[in-house]
Amino acid sequence: MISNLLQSLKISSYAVVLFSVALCAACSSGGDDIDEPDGPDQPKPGDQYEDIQVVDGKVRFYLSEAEDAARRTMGIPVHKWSGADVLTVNGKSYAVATDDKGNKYIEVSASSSGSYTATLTSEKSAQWHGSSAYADLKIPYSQFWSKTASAMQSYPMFASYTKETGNKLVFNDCFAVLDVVLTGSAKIASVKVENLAGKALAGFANYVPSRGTTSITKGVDFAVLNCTDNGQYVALKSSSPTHFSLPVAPGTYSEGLRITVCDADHRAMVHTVPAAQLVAGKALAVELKYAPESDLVFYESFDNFVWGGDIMGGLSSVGFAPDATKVVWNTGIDRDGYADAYTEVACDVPGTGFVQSNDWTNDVSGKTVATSHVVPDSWAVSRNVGDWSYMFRVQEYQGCVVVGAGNTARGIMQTCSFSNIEGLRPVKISFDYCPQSGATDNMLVQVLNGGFIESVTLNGAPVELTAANSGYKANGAQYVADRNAVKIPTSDTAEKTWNRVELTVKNATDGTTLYWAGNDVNSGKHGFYIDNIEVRTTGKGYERDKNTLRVLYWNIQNGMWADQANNYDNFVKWVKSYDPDVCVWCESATIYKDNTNTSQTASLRFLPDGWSSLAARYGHAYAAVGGKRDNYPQTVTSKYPIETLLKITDSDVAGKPVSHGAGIQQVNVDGKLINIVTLHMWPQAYAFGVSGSANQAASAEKKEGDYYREFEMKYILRETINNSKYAAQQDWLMMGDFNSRSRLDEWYYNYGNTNDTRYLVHNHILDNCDMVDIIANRYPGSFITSTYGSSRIDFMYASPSMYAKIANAMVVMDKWTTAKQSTYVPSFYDPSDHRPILTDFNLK
Amino acid sequence: MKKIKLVFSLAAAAVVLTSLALTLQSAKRPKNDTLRLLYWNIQNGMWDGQEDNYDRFVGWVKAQNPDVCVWCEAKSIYKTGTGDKAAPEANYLPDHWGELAARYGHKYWYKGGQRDNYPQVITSRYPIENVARIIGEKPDSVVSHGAGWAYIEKNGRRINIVTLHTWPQAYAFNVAQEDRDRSRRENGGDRYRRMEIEYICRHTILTEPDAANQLWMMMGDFNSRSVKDNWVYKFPEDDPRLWVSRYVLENTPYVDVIAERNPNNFYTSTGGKSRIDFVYCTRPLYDRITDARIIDDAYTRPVRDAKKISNFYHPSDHLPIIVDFDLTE
Repeated sequence: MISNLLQSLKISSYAVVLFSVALCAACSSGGDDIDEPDGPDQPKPGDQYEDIQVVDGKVRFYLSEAEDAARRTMGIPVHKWSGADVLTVNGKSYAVATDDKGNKYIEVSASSSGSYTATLTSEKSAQWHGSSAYADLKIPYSQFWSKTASAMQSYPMFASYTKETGNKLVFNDCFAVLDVVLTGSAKIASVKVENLAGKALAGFANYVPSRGTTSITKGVDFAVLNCTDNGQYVALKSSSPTHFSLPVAPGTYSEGLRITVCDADHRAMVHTVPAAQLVAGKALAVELKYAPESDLVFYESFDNFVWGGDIMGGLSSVGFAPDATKVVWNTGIDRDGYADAYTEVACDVPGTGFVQSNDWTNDVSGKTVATSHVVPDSWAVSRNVGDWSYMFRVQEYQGCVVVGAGNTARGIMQTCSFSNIEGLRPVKISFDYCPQSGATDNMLVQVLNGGFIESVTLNGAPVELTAANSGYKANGAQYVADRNAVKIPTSDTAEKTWNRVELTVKNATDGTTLYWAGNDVNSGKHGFYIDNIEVRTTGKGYERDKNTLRVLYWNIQNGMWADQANNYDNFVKWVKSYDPDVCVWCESATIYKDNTNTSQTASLRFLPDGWSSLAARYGHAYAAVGGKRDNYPQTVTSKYPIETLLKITDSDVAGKPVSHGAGIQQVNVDGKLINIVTLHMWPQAYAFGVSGSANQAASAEKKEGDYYREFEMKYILRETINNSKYAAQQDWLMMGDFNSRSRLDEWYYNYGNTNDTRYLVHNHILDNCDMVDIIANRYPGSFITSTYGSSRIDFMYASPSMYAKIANAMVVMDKWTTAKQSTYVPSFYDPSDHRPILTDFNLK
Repeated sequence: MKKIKLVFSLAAAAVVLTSLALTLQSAKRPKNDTLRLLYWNIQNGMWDGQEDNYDRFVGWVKAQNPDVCVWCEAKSIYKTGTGDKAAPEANYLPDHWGELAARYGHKYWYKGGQRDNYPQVITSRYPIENVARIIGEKPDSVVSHGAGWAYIEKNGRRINIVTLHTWPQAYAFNVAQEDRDRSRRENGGDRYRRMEIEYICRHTILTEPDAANQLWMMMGDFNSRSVKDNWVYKFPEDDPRLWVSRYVLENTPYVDVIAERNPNNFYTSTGGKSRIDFVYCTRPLYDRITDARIIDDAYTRPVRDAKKISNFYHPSDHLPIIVDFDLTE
């Protein structure tokens, strides 16, 4: 927007210049004219502006504005002289007059010293300065796209008499502008400039006319232009440049300036300007093509977090807030996100109260910052954190956040997913942290929904990972940062030092997020400060060999109901992204109408009959449905021919069917026969066939659901892998939703013994055949959930012959498959309440 | 006959979708002197197959191992996955039937009379000779979707093949929008189909006085039901919906293959409960049939499009018919 305005301004100011040239040519014959205030741009020798003359104790000055005033790049239009202008010269106010040629001038009292210093202000200018227009000028360190530029139209301008300008006062700005000129295709969220010398470049300043420059009296070493623009952001164009103009203090920046550009997509680019001279009233253009660093898939240095004290800097540091409120956790939450902040606050005063409600269970859990916050919407938008999962008991400080220091309860912070990661990638995740003073708790860091932590360093030194400080639980790899391994600040107002944590993570995906919390749920001092989060890819990651057979299993809840109204487009796109050779789908039948839990008319149920055409869309030519006796059959699709060897719906006991059916599908991979047992056990705590809530409760009490599942499993195993009829078949896989847990996870569940009825199904498998639980055996010591919660009930088993061929196996955790509660039917999840399992077998 | 008997090649066993293999008995085809006909209305030129370059279609056809295929609606019309019409030059079929047929082992192809988006095509292992491409005559005898008369020779015998696809609507062809309700009330569609079938027969089998002793087959989507199935439908005796079949059975030497071979069974040829696709044969050819059935398997079963696009089904709204002939002496 500004650049367009600018474009037109440039044109119009050109027109003004040309027009005045023409005017002068017409009137230059009049020898008596005192001068021509808007004379030609290229004066000939001896044709300079007329010097001032004192007539009756008065001096006439013609008024103009510097054509290249610093504010011009900010899109501020050329000043229009009017009665609202307040002009002072040497401290006295004068009214603007117009001569017969339309030129604006003032007649001022002659100065005995011969110096004339003028200010141009208006009624609105007072917001920018203190007792006079020269004192306590605010050079905004926190600037907002279009809003700040617009407000700075009333910023005081200054002019002084010089021999060169003669009887013309040429007004200009007292600040310099760093004009970051960007082309590219991103939406920009912030542009920050930092003085690498660590000295202030914005804040409060005085203008010294005799030196023609402005000196900071109190300020900060950075200025940031917040470009979130109420969620619009500032979209770059590849063809025409966009100006991001930051007013800063003039001066010599001998150690250079660092420019950090962040985009709405959480990527960033850093550019350093070597030693620079910024001159009052001038703009320094830095032209850049915005190309975020290719390995930097996520970046957050809290540049748009500007309020509150400089908690790390200690007592001598400078910080500002919108007002003087001494913010605690439940105050300072009503500040408009786009509020200016010029009231100095102490270093230990945060800029906001808690971002989200203090009530985790009722208000925060399962939501995001955008959908659950107690600060105004403008705050969540202006900080570009709406897509973060949690900022629970998180508060803003200048350039960083504090997690869980506001009260004695622990805080939780979780980023958005790192959606810029493509496929499975190794990444390095790093961030700065510092415990709060007197911390009694350690910091829990988790890499959630994709990725395993392989190693950790703290301040560059390797951290020994043990069962106590690391591990994988449910959907996250953990690292507990020992507070005693770093310097705990002695007081809240002490100067603090950051500690750099680096996590080496493998198999990160676009669903991966980073999570921090106090490690101890009891009351205490849990808080820690966080800044400079970077996620960088470090390689290509796992790529399968061309000889691998990729098998993908997933319980796609209600026949992928979540995507059926969308013609399964996301589902197909997702399957294609993994390009499996064989898919096994549990709950592979359409049951409900789009976006409701109303039963669909039988003839309009697309699946399972439609699997052939749906599978074709992700490149599978073959589809086969297993034993189907209710709404929850299993279907296998494949790039290779499938022969259904067996469909199971009933058992050998009357009235005790295999509730969701089962089957053997034999996939012929270029002559190699792989036998896949598909199953989906009875899901309830009570036994099949028990009706009435009282009976069901009684049945559940007697664990009859567990026993029914065991019954189903025994029958299935007997009829498939253990059936002598298939003795010739060596290569077996067995997978499905077992609705049962395994004793191999007892270390996690802690039921107390491995004979718990909840283990009956897998006990039967583990004790009666040689099938191997792939995930448990590939990830010893890790508990990896297969559902949205914390239970591993989906399994892929392999015969020893197939297990030996595994090249890679994982529970798939990525952005799309990470379960979200359905917005249509709260008991359903989008896309499923289960997670997929993927295994690559090297068949050669 | 309660059980449908499947004639099934070994090659087919390896490729075909498996539920078919389970539901039908397997039997080997005698080689060389048999002829297998596969007829199917492949809705909108096998629009479903556009998604995967016709891989499943070809795989399935190959598995059936037919000698002659007759396809109704043998022209591509729509863009893949949508109900939007594609640019004429973007449509793969019918121009590329030669290429597609080669993928399932047929060297020859033939297109009957075409006058709109729904032509019929014959593909074959054996050369196909055209006799007549029929599109009818203006003003009142237009054969809406055209028809074709061709023949192949097998074991020295000439087998005439007549393909057709009669007018599909309840109102008559070429009736203005505002008159369609009236036309429906007057059974305009049935009257039109009755005209078409008579026109087609008069220009094909009825031109041969000795046709009853020759080998003739006529197949297609008749868009009308048969008097042979009226024990299921229970329409009034003279119901216009039965006129087309009545004409064929009363005025030509054709036998309704599926009905004749399954006198006490009803088989639908669509996703609903209606047999509107027919293979007719003259008696000398009918007597050589060893098997005939409508194929309802995991691939062919009509499934309504997930987006409910128009009236599109996957892979088609019709089921295929396979007929095996023994052409030994």
